[in-house]
Amino acid sequence: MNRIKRYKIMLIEPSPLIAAGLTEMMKQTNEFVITHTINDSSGCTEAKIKVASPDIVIIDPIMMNYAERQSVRDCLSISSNTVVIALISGVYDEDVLNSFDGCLNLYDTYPQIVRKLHDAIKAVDKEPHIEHNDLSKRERTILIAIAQGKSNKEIADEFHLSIYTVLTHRKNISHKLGIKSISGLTVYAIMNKMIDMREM
Amino acid sequence: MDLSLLSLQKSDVMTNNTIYSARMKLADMILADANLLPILERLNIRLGFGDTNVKEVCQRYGLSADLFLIICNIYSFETYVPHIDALTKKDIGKILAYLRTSHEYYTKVCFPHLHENIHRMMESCDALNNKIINKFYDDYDNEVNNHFEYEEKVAFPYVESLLAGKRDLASDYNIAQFECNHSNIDEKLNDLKNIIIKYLPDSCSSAMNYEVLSDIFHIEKDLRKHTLIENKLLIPLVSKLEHDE
Repeated sequence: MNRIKRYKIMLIEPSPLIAAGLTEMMKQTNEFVITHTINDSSGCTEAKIKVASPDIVIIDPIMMNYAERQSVRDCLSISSNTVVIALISGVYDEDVLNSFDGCLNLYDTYPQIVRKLHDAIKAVDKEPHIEHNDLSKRERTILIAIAQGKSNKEIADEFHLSIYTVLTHRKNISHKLGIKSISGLTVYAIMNKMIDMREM
Repeated sequence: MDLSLLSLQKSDVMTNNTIYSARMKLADMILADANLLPILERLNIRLGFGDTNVKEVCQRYGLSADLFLIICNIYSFETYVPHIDALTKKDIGKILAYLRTSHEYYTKVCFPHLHENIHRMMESCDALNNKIINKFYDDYDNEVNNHFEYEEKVAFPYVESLLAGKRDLASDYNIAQFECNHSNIDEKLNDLKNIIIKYLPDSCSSAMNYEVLSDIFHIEKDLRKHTLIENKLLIPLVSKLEHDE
């Protein structure tokens, strides 16, 4: 018998209305249970996540401090096998949302929400737990394109991003790796078997 | 830097925002901070100056003490911001000579030494890493040579003709263009440092890696000072000269 795993969810959402709504909605299933709800960013969120050790964290990005431009995982020091989902009630920069494993929208229906949670869980499970200096999946893809000698414009077109977003990714990649030049990034990509030497 | 010397010159710190003064014995300065040694070499100041002070030594070599002290401050203090108010047209020629000698030091001593050490470091490494690191360095080497060549063949001769009052009116070259094209040549060195420290597989680690790293740290620091002299002394002085004409 294939016993369904029960996923513990921690919800970090400032709106009592939204929090109550989602909690109520999730009662339709035994698979997901919201075990903790935080509605203020009093600063001990990080500690609370550690103590609760949820399988999934659903967080309204509004609760995070983006001034430092870190990814959500770095911000709350969430381990790499916890699924982190954004619950979006406003407009966010693509880079912000890229650092999450999935996004829930206020207007999603119950089946949509369950499907999105399953997708995110699958994606996190599949992702090999090799630490590429915490480069996100998108950053790794872009790093490969840079190493292949593609221009910012070409990368923007290929991945349907704005030039500005490509530049932001590049800045973040360089910051994480400590390597700024294209040839340095290429060395890194070959060394880590992300591209073949012949692609240089 | 020797702290006792710092406290000794407290009044200078307070008044001029610099630590070295023309009244100091040059020998004391060198003994307090070995970073100043290459400056003497590049300005062709020979050792054996006894207890003479900075002003006297500079006079002997036809050098302004202000320029000499500014360069010394640049080399000794990371946060020092030079002011060019005390410098004149005459100092520009000396700065050029200084920059040329530094180029020679980089291209004839520093970089060949680094190149040799990188080659030896990678000898014990696998073929792939050996190849990519050597290629990375060769590309960098070309970039550095082009950078210096542009300065020696375009920018510096322009400044010299300006100094000689023989400005080529047909040419619209000016120092602002040099400023625009003045790329940052220590970026790739910093990348290489990170690659060796963080990413080169540990099977490639040998005593040579430390040699290479210490070479890089040394060159990087020197290049930073060199660039500061170009950007904060040469370029503003020359653009003032262009303006006065």
